[in-house]
Amino acid sequence: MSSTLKGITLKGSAELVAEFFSFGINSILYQRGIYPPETFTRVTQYDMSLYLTVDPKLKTYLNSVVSQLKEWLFDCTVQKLVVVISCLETNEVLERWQFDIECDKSAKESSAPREKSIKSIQEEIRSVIRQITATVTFLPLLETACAFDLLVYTDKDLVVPEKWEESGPQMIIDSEEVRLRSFTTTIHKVNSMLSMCSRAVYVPVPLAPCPCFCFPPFSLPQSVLWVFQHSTCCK
Amino acid sequence: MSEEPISMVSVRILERYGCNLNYEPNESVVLRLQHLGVDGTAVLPAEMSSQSDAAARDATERLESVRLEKTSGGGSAHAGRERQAEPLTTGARSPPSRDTEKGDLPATAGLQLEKVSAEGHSESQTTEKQQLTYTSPSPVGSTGGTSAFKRPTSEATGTCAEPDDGEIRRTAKEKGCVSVVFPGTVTQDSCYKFVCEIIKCVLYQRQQLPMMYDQLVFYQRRQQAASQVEDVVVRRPAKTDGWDWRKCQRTLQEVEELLQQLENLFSLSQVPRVLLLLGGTITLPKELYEVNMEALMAGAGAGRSLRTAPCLRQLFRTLFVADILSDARPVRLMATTVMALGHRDCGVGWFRPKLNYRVPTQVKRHVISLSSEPTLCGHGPVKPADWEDYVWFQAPVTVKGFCK
Repeated sequence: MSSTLKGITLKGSAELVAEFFSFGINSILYQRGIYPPETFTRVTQYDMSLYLTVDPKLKTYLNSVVSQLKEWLFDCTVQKLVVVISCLETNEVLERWQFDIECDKSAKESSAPREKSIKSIQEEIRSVIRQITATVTFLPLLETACAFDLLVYTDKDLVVPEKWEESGPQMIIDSEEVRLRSFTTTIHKVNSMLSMCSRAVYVPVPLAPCPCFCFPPFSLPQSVLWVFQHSTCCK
Repeated sequence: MSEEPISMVSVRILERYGCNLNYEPNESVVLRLQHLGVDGTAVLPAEMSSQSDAAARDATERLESVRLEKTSGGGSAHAGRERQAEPLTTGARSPPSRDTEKGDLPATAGLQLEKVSAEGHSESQTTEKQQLTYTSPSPVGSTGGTSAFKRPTSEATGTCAEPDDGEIRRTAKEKGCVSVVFPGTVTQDSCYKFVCEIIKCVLYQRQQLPMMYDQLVFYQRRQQAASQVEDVVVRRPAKTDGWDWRKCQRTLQEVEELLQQLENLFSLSQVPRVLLLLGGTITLPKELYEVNMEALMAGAGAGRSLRTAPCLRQLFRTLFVADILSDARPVRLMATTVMALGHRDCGVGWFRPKLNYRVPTQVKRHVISLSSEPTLCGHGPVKPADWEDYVWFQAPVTVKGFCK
């Protein structure tokens, strides 16, 4: 990572922020049950236990997005990253995790590292990811099979890369928002916000675990597919 | 395994200046990376794992019926029938719940009511004792469905006295107080669950646990189940996956015992206040959190009560917005002690009475104040209860945090 013990460079900042998005997106997918929990592996990052997907196609997709994002972060041409969670059947957008990115473009002219340690940046990132995890305590359960999409807001005059296309913003009608914490590398600042459909509906969640403990308490990610795969345990 | 080539499908350039694109004031464009499915159509990544989602939905309904069979018998048969009214079907609008069929009370849209039996116990206590149920209320005649977050309105005033997020944050920062006002009364069991979940939340958010408590329990049990499958005794190192499982088990046992004994205390006495003391001593802790339910307790049992689950969501959303628990700085591992205010003659055995205990004043106290909106409870303001006969009880077990 291009950073010195005393500070951080533009390249290092882009890498840190891209790394955050990689873990952050994985955390959202895990906690919201978009993919079954057994398709995730537990790793230690930012001095905490996080989950990364082991699904090869999903990994490839996320790696493509994150690597492109790193370039845009270095060029200071990216403004937002949005994780959109929508109902697979109706395409209704249920949640929108929006990460606003502010870039200090003066860092492009000066190569002098900024005085902020990687450790302190990672501590701020940790608090954001902890908040993402904490949202399961009040977010409504996603009762339907869901899909996710990643949208990146870039400068208008940017040349669209080969494997990308323009998209609509996929906003939520009648939404409610909560703000999460932000973090800054002094070069890039990331502000996080969650919008959810205010017409959220509860679903009953049986909580009594079966004897083999295949069904988790309510705060674990709820995935229709996961429930399906474990249904055979409950005889 | 060969991977699908990633290539762009036919570009769908949306109307640049039409309603489909939303250009921000600083003129941005929204881009997305597409992924090809097996038949060449554009497929969102989640769809690749959910090709059998139709079968999954069928299986989910089968699972629901299996679970109903498993839980039938005795008191839980009632819970089974209740769940049966709200199947896990995609996109299906759930039928009106049993409670609302009996007639809506004012300001109940969005929150379910529990019937309180003659003994003062809610149905959820007798039939779903260990469970938090989330019903899918669709009151007859409702227009916009229900919302986890929209506050029910008073028929009289048509308005809710609900602070906005900025005010919640400001009050929390300036006064160290987070106030949650429920639109109705709650049961004693609900009060226990509030405290229980707050304890779990504090332990995780204050970095005393590496992941959320319930997730930790789940993975620890899976670890145990996996080790029991082996036919021979296997000596495994205490640390696997970077975790000290012995410490994990110890902490989980401490928390489990604490929560069980708290439940017992709540069954014996009203508990208007609970203190969570982290680090230091009980007279001078490093951190102090109080759950104050004096106003909530005062109105408990008066008429029909709210369901626990929506109240929990309201509580944790408010806590989230107030942001009193998260900290960018690392918090070192500490021992957590719980003190609870209970009736001096309640007969609780596990907790130790501390007759001369005073709440520390030299440490900043974060107060989570829970109360009921009196105008929505169907009765006037409740006279504050007299807590003179209540003393502090200390949990004999401290919860020692562990990170890995």
